Amino acid sequence: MQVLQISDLSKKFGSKAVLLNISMNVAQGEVVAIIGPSGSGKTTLLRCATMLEKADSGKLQFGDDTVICAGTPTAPAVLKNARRKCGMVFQNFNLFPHMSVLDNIIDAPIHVHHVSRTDAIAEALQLLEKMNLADRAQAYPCELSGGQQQRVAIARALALHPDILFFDEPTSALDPELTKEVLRVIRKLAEENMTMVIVTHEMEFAAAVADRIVFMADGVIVEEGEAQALIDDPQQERTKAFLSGIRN
Amino acid sequence: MKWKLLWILLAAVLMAGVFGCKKEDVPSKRKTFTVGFDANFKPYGYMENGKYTGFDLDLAAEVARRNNWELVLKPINWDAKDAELQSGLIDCIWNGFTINGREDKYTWSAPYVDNSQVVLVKKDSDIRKFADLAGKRVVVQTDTPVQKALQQDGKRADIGKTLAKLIVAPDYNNAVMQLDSGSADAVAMDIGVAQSKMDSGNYRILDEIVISEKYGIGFKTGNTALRDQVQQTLIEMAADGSVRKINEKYRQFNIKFILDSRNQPQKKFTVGFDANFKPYGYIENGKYVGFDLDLAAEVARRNNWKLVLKPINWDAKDTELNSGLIDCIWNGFTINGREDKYTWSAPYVDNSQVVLVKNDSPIRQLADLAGKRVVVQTDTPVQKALQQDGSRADIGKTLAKLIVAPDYNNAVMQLEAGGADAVAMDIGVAQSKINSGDFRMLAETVISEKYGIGFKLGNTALRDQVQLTLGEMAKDGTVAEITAKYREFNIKFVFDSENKITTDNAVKKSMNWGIMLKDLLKGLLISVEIFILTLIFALPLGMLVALGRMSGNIVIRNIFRVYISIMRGTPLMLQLLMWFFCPYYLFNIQLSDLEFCGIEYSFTAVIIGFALNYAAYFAEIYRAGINSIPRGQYEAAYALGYSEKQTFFRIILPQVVKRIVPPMTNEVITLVKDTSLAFSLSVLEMFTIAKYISSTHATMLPLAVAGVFYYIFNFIVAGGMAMIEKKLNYYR
Repeated sequence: MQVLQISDLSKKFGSKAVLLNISMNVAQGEVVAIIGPSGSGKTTLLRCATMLEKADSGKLQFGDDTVICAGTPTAPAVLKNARRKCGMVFQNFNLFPHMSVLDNIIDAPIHVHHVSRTDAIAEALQLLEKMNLADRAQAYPCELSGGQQQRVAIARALALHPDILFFDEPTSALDPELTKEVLRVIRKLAEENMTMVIVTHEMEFAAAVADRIVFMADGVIVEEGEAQALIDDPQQERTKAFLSGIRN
Repeated sequence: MKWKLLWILLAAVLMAGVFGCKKEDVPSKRKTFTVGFDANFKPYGYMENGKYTGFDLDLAAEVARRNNWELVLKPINWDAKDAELQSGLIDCIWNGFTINGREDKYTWSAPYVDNSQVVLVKKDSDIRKFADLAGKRVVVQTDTPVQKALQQDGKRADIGKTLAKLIVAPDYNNAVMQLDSGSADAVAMDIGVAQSKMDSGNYRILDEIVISEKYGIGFKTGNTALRDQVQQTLIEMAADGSVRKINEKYRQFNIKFILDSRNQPQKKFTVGFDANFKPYGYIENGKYVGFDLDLAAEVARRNNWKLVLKPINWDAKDTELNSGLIDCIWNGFTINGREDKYTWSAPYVDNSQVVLVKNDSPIRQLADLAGKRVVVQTDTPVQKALQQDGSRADIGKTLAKLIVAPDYNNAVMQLEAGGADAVAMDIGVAQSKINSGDFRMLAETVISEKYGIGFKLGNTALRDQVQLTLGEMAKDGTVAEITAKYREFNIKFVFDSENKITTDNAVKKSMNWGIMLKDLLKGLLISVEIFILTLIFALPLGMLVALGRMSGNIVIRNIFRVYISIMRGTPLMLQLLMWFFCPYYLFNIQLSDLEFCGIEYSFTAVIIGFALNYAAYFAEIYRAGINSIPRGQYEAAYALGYSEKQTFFRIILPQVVKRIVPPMTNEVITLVKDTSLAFSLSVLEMFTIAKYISSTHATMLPLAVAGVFYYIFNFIVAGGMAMIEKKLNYYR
C-alpha cells in the first residue's frame, strides 16, 4: 500500500524554482532517505509533503482517500486528516519550552485527539521508556542535552500514531555522540516497520537503515534506488560527484 | 619666668578684648566701602601733596558719604587687582578702568566716562573722514593710547600706515599749536580735550572715532547689589549737579562724564500670574491683558523698570517667588488665609466670592445649595472657606459634594455639562461669564476677600516702592482710568496705603499628623482603585488591540494602527478631559445623567481614559512578545495538529507572558504614577490631596509623605512583577 504518493510537485520562492515536478512514492513500512547538497530542495520537499508549505502545483495523496491538489483549495476536513497522518521531527527539535517532557508528549493527544489523560500518560511513559528517557519525564527541555531533546521530539510525534514520520535532518544539530543515540532510536523504529522519510547527511546510516535512497540536486530527483546499491555504485555523474565529496 | 609672665599678660589682654567688648557697648560700625586704584593715573586717581586725589576718588568719596559708608582708599598693585577684588580686600576697582576687552571679567557699572580718541582738524580743512588722512601729518601726545594705536603694530595701524607722518608732541597744547601753525594737518586726542577746543569755533571733530574707551567701576562678578547701589547714587549725583562740581576741579583734563539714567540698563520687574483669570490677568487675541497687568505696566513705567509678564503654574507660584524667578504675584491674589506667607502690599481690590448658576437653575439663595454639587477652583480661599473647617463651613457642610477643578474654565465647563450645579468664584470672573448670557449670579456673597500683591517674605523694599507708585497712581486718577476699561467686571479698587494687613483672620493651623495621614491614605485608596481598574480593563483590551494590529485583513490592521497612534501620540491628560466633557459638548448629555451605581461620571471617565490609553501601550508590548516567538513553535504545533486558537493559547501565549514581564513592569509602574493625572477631572487622588494639605499648612511635608507612599506602592508592584518573573524562570 502506498502511504504517500507525490506527483509532479513544483514550488517557486519568488522567481527561484526550488522544486521541479517532483514525483515520489513511499510504500508502507518503507524507510526512504533523501540526500543531496544544500539548496537541492530536500527540506522544501519535506515541508510541502507535511503541508507546512503550500506547493504551487502537483498532487499529494495519503493512503487511498486523502488527496490534496496544490493550487486548489482543500476542504478543512481533508487537510486535518492529512495532517494527522504525518508526523514531523525538526532539525532544532521545537519542543515547547514551557512544558515538561511529559507534558510535551501528552498535550496534543489530550487536547487535539481527546485521548484521556491516564491513557495519554501511560502511552507517553511507554514511549519514553523506548527512548531511554523514562527518568526525565518531569524535566524541562532546557535541562536536557540536544540528543535527549530530539528523542523527546520523536516521542512527541509518535504519540499521535502517524502513518508516516518525516525527519528533517534530525541529527544535523548534534555532535557525533548525541547523533548516535538518536540514530539508534530511528533504527529501532525502522525495525518496527514504521514508515519514514528522512532527510539526512549521515550516509552510512542511510545506507544501513534506509530501504531506498533518493538523491536530489537543483530541485530535481537525480537518482534513486536501493540504498546500499546507490551508495556503492551511483549511476549519474552528479551523484558520483556528491558522494565522492562526502567520502573525502 | 619672664616668658610665663608675658604669656599671662597676652592672655589677659586677649580676654579683655573678647569679654570686655560686650555687643551693646561697641557702637555699630559703619559699612566700609573700599576702593582699589592705581594711584598713578592722573586725573582719575593719583597722589598730590602726599594725599590721594583724583576725579574717581572724589566721586567715590561723595558716593560713600551719601550712603553713610566709610570710604577706604586702597592703592593696589595693578597686577594684583583681581586677587584683591575676588578675596574681598577691595569692594571695587575705580580707576579710569577701561571696560573694553574686560566685559566678562567683572560686574560693571554702566560706563560713566567716555574716553574716546577722536581727530581734530581746522574748520576749513578738506579732511572729512579717516580715509582723507592718507598722506597727511597727524600729531599725538606722547605716551597716550591713541599714540600706541596709530603706530605700526597698533590697533589702528590701518590708519597709521597711511599717514605721511605721525608727529609726537609732549603735551596737548603743543599738539594743537602745531595744528594751528600748519605743521600738522590733524591732531588725534581725547574727546574731552577735543571738545574743549571746539569752544573757540576754529576747529572741527571728525565723526569717526579712532579708538573708543569707556570707563566703568568694576565689582566682583555677581556683586550686583553693591553695583546697583553705587550706580544709583552716581546717577543722583549727576542729576543734582554734584558730578559737575567735582568735574570742575579737573577742568583742564576735560573729563567726559556720561552716566545718566538714560544709559542705565533697566531693572526688570517680573510679575507672576495665572493667565486664566479674567479680568485680572488673561489672554485676549494672543496677548496678555487684565486689570492687574495694566496696573503693573504703569507701575513699571513710572519706575523705569522693564516689565516682564510671566505666566506661571498656579501650584508652583511659591517656588517661583522664593527662587526669585518672579518678583511678585499679581493676579487677583487673595490675601485672606495667606496673610503670613508673603510680604503683602496693602489691599487694593475688594473682591467678593459669589455663586454662579445656570439661568434656569432653581437655586436662588445660598440656602438652596443644600444637597447640591458645587465646584471651586483648586487652592482658592473660597475652596478653603467651604471646606469642613472653613469660614463658610455652614454652607459647605450642606453640600452634596464640593468638587475641586484645576482652573476656572474647567469649573464652568463642569457647570455647563451638568457635572455640577453651581460654581463658587470671584465676582469679577462670574461677571464675565454672566455677560455671555447663560448664567446668573446669586445675590448673596459667600465670602468677601481682599486682593494684594504678594512679594517674597522680607522683600519690603520692592513692596514699598510698588505701593508708593500705586498710591500716586490712585491719587492722580490713573487707576480710575484703568478701572474704567474693565467696568463690566465691577472691580472695587480700595487702595489705602495706610491699611496694614492684620493677621487676625490667619488662624495658623498647625498640622495634625494623624489627620494628614488619614487624608493621604484616603487618596491612596483612590489611586489604587484607579490602578487596579485600569489594569483589569487594559490588559485584555491590549491583547485584542495587538491581535487586531497583526490581523491579515488590511482594513482591520490599519484601524488599530491609527488607534494606537492616537492613544500614544496625544497627552493622557488631554484624553481624560475629552472623555469627560465629550458627552456634553458633542451630544448634549448632562454629565449628571451619566452616573451609575453611585459612581460619578468623572471617575468613570478616568477609567475609560486610562484603560484605552494603556491598552495601546500594552498592545505594542504584546505584539513584540508574540513576534519574538520562533516560527518553529508554530510549525511544531501545526505538525501536531493544534488548531490556531489552541496554538495561540496553549503554546504561544504562555511563552509571551514570560518574555513581556520586564517591559510590562515599566508600564505598570508608570501607571502607578500616572494616577495623579486624575486631578484634571477633579478626582481627588493622593497627590492632589497632598498638595492641598501642603498649601493649607505651608509645609512640604505632605508632599514628601505622598512621595514615600508612591514609592511603597511602586515597590510592592515591582516586587510583585519580580515574583512573577521568578516563577516563570522554571524554564529558559
